[in-house]
Amino acid sequence: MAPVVSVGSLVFGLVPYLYLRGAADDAGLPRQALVARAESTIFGGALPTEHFA
Amino acid sequence: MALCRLSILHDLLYQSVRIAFFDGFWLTIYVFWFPVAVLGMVCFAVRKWEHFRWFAGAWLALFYVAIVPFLLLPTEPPWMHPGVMRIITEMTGDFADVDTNQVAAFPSLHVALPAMIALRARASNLPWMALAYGLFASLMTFAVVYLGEHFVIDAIAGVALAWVAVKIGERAAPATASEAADPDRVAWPDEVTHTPVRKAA
Repeated sequence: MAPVVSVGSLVFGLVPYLYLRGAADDAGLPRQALVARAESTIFGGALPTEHFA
Repeated sequence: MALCRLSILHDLLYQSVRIAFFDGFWLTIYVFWFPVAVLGMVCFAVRKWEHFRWFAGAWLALFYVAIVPFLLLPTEPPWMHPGVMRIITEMTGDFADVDTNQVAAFPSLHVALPAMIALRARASNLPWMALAYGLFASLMTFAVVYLGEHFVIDAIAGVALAWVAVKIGERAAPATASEAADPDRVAWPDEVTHTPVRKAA
């Protein structure tokens, strides 16, 4: 019984994560500091940063 | 650097007119990442229940630690770049829009989760499970890059995150002396073990 409860808890324990993941996008800070990886190489280039207004 | 361009992968492998088996395979790998991870969690609980608290700690640490780079270092995935195709959208339409944060690309949790399970399984002396999930993480790395969802550096960061999460999981619930002596368990080189203190009579 304990393993079933634990597995279920861990799956449902990600609900706050889903909220926080969305909140991170809505925070305001992210879009201003967005790393725009303009080089479309599979390695992602040197992570050039561009600041969006 | 031209040889590294993502579009070369698409030019070589993607057929826009029809959904090839090749594309369906990688899409299946990509979509089933979470069910496969839950299956791994169940298998781990059945095989190594005595180590499950470390698995649980690593599982939660993986997701919640990732919030920090998602907040402080939001990054464009490859498909946001003009000229790069998002194959998932081509194949499934609006299915790809369910993500609540489109710029949470660094690190890749699609790679980090199976990598974490592989590392945890290895540390708990489950070599076949470690091998299976390591292979799955490798396939996932190609899938996320080919599908235009992540850069390779995101996958590398995902593996690093997995390693950190496993460490956090163990540190959050240190092994007792008897657990540390368990031959079925592979200790970390710098592990700190917890020795229960006896109360004075």
